[in-house]
Amino acid sequence: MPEVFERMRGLYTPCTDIRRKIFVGVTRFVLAGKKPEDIDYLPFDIIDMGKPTYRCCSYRELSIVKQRIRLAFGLPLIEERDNTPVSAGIGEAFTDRKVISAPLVNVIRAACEKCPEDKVIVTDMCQSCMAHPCSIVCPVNAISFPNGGKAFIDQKKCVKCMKCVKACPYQSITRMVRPCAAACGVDAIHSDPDGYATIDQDKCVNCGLCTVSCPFAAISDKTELVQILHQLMGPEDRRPYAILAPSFVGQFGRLASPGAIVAGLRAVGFRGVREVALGADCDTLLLAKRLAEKSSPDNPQHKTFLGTSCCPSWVKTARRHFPEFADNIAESFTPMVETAKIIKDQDPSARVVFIGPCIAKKAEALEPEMQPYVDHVLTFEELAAIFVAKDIDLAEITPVEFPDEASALGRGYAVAGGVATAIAETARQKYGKENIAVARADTLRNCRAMLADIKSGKTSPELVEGMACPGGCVGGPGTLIGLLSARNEVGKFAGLAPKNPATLTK
Amino acid sequence: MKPIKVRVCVGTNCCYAGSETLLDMLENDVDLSAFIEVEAVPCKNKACDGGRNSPVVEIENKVLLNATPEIVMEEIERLATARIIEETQRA
Repeated sequence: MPEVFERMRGLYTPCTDIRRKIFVGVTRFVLAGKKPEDIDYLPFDIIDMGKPTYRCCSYRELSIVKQRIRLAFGLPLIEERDNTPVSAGIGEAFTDRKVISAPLVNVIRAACEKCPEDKVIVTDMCQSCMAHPCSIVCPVNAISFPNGGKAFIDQKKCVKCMKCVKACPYQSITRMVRPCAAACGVDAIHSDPDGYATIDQDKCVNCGLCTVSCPFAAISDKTELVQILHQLMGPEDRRPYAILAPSFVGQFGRLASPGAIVAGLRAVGFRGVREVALGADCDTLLLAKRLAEKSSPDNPQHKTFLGTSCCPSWVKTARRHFPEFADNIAESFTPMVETAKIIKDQDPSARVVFIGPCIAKKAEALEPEMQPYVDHVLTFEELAAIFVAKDIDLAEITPVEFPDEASALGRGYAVAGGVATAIAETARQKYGKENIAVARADTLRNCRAMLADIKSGKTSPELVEGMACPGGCVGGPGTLIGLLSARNEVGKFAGLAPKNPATLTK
Repeated sequence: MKPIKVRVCVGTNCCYAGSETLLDMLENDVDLSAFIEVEAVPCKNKACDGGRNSPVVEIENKVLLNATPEIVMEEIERLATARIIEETQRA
C-alpha cells in the first residue's frame, strides 16, 4: 500500500484541474494585456458561477479561486475574513521584477476542510461481533460497545498503536491521517486553534509535497508566472534564458521531444536554453574529488560520510535535524546555480529562469547568496500553461537541435540513486576509488531514518544521497507525468548523451 | 474480439488536461489490453478548442471531448459489449 500522500500521484484529479486552470487563466489574462483593474473579472474566466464544479457552492469556489489567483501572481494570501478585498495590491505583481517572498507554501484557509489530524476510527463495517478482539488487544482500554452496539474508540485514551486495526476480523477499524501532514517529512503541519491546517514556517523546507497531497487542493505555492511573462513580452535584450532541470524529458507528452521543448521555449520568448545536467556534471566532479580526498586517512573527515547537496530540502532537513552532520553535506552550489553561473559568466546582465519539478528551488532562489545567479523559478506545470495559453503545440512544432552538453551521469540526477551513482562512478574513473559504500533515501521521512541509522552506528556509508521527493526529482510536485514514465524517459535521454562532455574532461 | 481502436491526443493542450495519465491507465491495464488497441496521436482539427475541450479521445470513429477516464471507460465498455454480442450471434 503506497503512503497516503502517494495515492493520488500520477492521476489527473479535479485538484490538478483547478490548479492548471488557474495557471492558464492567469497566463491568458496577462498575455491579453489586461490591467490590475480588470482582476475582478478573472475568476469568472476560470469558474462558472452557475455551476459549482469543485465545491459545495459557487461562492466558496469563488473565494478560493481568488486566493489561488493571488498566489499565482506571486503575492501573499489575503483572507476575506480580515475584511480586505482579495484583489488588494494586485497591481504590484504587474512587473518584470521579482515579487515573491517567503512563505512560499501556504494553506488557503477558505479551502481547508479541517480534516482530523490523526484518528483511529471504527467504520460501519463493524459487526459488533462476539469475539470483539479489538477491545481485548487494546492496551489502554479505549474501546467500548455503547448499548451493546458497534465498537467505539475513546479518542482521549487511544494511543494509535494499531493493534485493534490488525485484530478486527472485518477490517472495520481504520486510521485516518491528514494527507498534508502525512506528506510532510519534517512534521511542519499542525492545526491552528480553529482546526485549519497550518504550516510551521520555521520547520518547513519547501519540498511542496503537501501541495499535491491535499485532496481538497487547500495548499498551494506562489508562482513567478506573471513576472516571467512580463519579461517574455518585454524588449528582446531583457528576455530571460531558460535552464531545464534533468527531469524535463517527456514531461510535455511523449511526442514532445527535447528538441521540440527547446523550440517551444524559444517560441514563447526565451533567449536561449541550457540543460541543468551541465551543472550537475560540475557538482559530480566536485563531490567525486572530495570523496577521493576524504579516503586519505589523515583527512579529518576520513571516518565520516559525504552527503549530496543537490536537493535543497534534503540539505536543510539534514542540517536542521542532525546538526552533528552539518559539515558532512557538501557545501557546493546546486546544479541549478552551477548552470546559471555558466550563463552569467558569459553574459552578466542575463536573466536566468530555472524550469524544473521543484518548489524548494523557488525558496533556494530567494536566498541572498543565490540571487545573483538564479533570477526566477518556474515548474514544468507552470511553463506548460504558457504553451497552452499561447496555443503552442510541442507535438507539432518543428524541433530544433538540442544543445547536448551534459553527460549521461548528469542527466541521471533526476532519478533517485542517480546522484550517488554519478559521484561514485566518477570517483572510480578519475581517482580509482572502488567499492564505495553508498546509502540513499528518498522522501524526507526516509532521509531522516537513514541519518538516524548512521548516527546510531547501524550503518556507516561513505557517500549519502538524499532526495525529498518520492523517486527523486521525477516525483516532484511540479511534474506533469507519472513517476514511471518520467523515469523511463530520463533513462532513454541519458543514453543519448555525448560520451565525453567538455565539463567532465576538463 | 476485434480490438477497439482508442486514439488519445497527446498535443500540448490535451497533455495538460491529463491525456498522458489517461494513456498510462489504458496502456498499463492488463485486463483491458485484450479489448483495446491504444495509440497516442497528435492534435487533429484542433478539436480541443485551445484546451477547453481537452483531453480529446477518439474511440473508433467517435470523438469524445473532455474525456475523463470515466467517460472513456464507459464508451469502451459499451462498444466491447456490442461487439461481443454481435460476434457471438454471427458464430
